[in-house]
Amino acid sequence: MNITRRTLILGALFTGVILPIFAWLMSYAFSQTVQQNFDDRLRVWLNVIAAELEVDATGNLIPLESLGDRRFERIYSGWYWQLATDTEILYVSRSLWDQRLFQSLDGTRGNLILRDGVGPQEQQLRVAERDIILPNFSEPVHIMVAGDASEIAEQVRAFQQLLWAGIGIIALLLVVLSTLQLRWSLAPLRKMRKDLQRLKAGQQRRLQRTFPSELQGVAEALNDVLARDESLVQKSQETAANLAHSLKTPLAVMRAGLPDLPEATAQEWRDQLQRVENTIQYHLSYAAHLGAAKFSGRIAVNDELAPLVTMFTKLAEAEGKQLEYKGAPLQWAMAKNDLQQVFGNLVENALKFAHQRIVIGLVVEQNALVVEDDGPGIAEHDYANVLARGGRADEQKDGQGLGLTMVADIATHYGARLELGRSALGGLKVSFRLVE
Amino acid sequence: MKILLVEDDKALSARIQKLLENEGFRVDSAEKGSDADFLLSTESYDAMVLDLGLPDGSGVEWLQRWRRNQIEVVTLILTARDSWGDKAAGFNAGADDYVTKPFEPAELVFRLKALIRRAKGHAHPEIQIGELQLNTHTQQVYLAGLAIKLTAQELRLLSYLMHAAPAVVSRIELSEHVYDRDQEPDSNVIDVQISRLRKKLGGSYIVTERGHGYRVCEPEPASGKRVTDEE
Repeated sequence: MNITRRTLILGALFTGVILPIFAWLMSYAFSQTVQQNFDDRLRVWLNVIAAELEVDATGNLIPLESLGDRRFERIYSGWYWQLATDTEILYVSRSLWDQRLFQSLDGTRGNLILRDGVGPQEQQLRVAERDIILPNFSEPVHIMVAGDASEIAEQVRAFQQLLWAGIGIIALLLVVLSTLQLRWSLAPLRKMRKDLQRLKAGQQRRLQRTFPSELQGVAEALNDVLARDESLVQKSQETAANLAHSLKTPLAVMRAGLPDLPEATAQEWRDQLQRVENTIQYHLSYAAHLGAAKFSGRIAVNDELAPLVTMFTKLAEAEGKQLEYKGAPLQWAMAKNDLQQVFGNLVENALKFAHQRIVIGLVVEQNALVVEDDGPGIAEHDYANVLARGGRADEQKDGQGLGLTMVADIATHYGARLELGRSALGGLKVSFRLVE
Repeated sequence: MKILLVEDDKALSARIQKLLENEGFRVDSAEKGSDADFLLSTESYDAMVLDLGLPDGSGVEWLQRWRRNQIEVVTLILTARDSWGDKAAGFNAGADDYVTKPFEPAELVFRLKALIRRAKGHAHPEIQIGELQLNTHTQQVYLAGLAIKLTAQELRLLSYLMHAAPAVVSRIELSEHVYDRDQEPDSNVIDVQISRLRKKLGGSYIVTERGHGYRVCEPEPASGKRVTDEE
């Protein structure tokens, strides 16, 4: 899973958990506050009623006049008051009509009680009640004020609607902002990936951009590793080449001494020397293009082949053969030495086996180098043997085989396709196609 | 034929020298580019075998210098390097062919002979003059299809003259290119060997151009200007 997806999923999880918890807490706090305010209003009404109560000279409670709020007048409005003693109900608000409120039996003496209750028509009420003692009145007066609790629920519901709409918008904004933030934050990583792809394609040899400080160290370390790797491969190749070259002169001396030996012994030595030479040549070639694909820049195929074309044209002319070369502006991510080895081996073979003509072409549409000759060619059933990578190079006789095996090996390293076929000229047609 | 062999490895140089001498070449050897430079400025050679890795500079650089100085001797590069770029560099410096070390002795000889033959203007391995034929590969001489038996020295002499044909070859050139340095002959020895060759070949294939030297050509009816020793 990529970093963008991980971060977005994690962000969505946080948003999905944290925002609802926040919303629930907000909602709870708001409902608490609304209820508190409602209770305060009831308490005020209760105090107003208590202040309004008077006892006349005969010791009777004077009935309350209007409290100034029409809700206490409108029948079953949800807002009620009730005055009572322990034994009888004295007065009630007009809004209660023929109904009465159920009063708490205990705990109201000297204490204000706030509770939920049920009113006429199953109304959900919030009730405040307490007892007060009036001078000149024989019993404590129980005052009750009730308000319609659906007001609280209504306010909470309205708040919650607003809250969840807000939460939804915030969540959406968070997702959008997170995505934008991610895109912006990860842009250097994307650039680095692009650089690495160009590196892989051979279009550059190092990470060349300036990255943010967090990545600059990584880029520099990567460049160091690339440089070290490149130098290591180069040194290994030089060592292999030096070893091979130092062996070649003694081998040449031994070869040159063969005519002095009896023919049977000379032949045996010749065969063994050939094995040693082929092994050296094969492994030297193998070492030469080791890691080359990774470090190659892009080269102009035509330009790099030009000196070889001149050489082979001269050689072909000397042998009375005709070499035709048709170039094209191909750019390949390949080491120069490997390209020249592919071309040299293929054309050398073609020159060796051609009767008269060798035709070489760079084909843009196929991104290929094609070498054809009018020689005897190779039987189709031998194609696989010839191309068998690393196939007992030491057992191959000098000739068509080893050169093609080395080309096949280079093709494998570069992911190129090497195809053998019969040429219209009559001989072998070899096509080396770089797949990019 | 006189060959300059430039190879710094003594053992290989000795082997190649022996190989080429066995094939009838006269070989001068040099271990360094500077030695070869001196020899090229004082002697003339039919071909040069040049190693690319010399102790005093690369063979390519030396060859470039010689070509700049109009030394056009045909050159076969001997290289331990497999890189095609190196071979091509050798060619661009003026080489005519290459052999990669380690090489098959027969291949070196074959290529060298072909190089010399072509440089002398003969496209085919058989040089034919009238009924006289020299197979440059087998070093066998035929007259009207019959093999002629020649001594090694006679063969070298005839081979050189046939390669050079129809040009005239001076006695000095013959003594330099056909005879070993330690047995350089006086003109009398050359005359004697030419005379023997004429007897073996019959006809008047070898013509003396008085005051100039010898040349091989198809026998023609006697002309007033041309003189043979038998006349």
